[in-house]
Amino acid sequence: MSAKLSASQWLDAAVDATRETAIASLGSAEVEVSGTHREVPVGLMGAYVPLMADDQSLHIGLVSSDEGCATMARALLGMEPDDEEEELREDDMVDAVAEVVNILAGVMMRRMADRVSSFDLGLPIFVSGKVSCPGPHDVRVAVLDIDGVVAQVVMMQGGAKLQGGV
Amino acid sequence: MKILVVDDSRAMRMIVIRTLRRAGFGSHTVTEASDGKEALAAIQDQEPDLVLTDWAMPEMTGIELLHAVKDQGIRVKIGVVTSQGTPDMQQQAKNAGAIFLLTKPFTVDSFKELLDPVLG
Repeated sequence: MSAKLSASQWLDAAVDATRETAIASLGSAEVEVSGTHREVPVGLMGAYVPLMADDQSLHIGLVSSDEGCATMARALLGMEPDDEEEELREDDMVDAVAEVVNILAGVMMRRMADRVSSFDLGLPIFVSGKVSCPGPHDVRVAVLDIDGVVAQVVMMQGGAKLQGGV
Repeated sequence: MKILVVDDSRAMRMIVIRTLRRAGFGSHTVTEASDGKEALAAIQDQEPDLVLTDWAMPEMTGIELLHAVKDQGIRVKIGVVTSQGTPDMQQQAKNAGAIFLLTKPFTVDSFKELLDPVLG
């Protein structure tokens, strides 16, 4: 069994995976990290996916504003960003952002494959509400600028309880 | 030729279909299924030439679909398109009869490279 990775190491991997995913799947030219913090973001929406790695339980999330999520969804679906004639349905937006996180987590798993002996990825969910972490946990967040869209990559190590929904 | 696209994410099915078109396979008939169980029924009913399936899905996963098709003696080419793609998964998919495992994010070129030998 590999040595337990720290939340900080997981966050670094998540940021790299987000960058690769944004460039490959969203057509982003640039992804910059503008800061990090250790609080679960509030007032935003996005998708989370559970990941079990060796003896560690993690949740990886990508959250943004309503507009930010819509922009990322449009990019993934190949829709023009400001095309008023092509409406983005809410369920498609939810689905698309969840898929972005799914792809991001998969990229992360492949990047960490030589450091983690076993991986299990769950199905993503979309959350618009408060996310809480009961019990001992470590939360690390990176604030990203994805071609002008401000989004946050969230790494929660330990158990997490989700409140609220779409 | 007939292609069945299987994924519980409608967004992902749209992306796969769009990539098929961009890779030059737009003239083929494409149908969709939202999980392995639906896909198995579609395979029995439509007899597609190629199935492109996700791995992790509710009801029946991609690997379970591969096993079900094999167990029922159905001859159909199945490729796995997944966000995961660890060496272990690649081996599992190969052992279960998948003709390839393509990881997301994928490109038009990677699609073309894998599907050209199958679809011509």
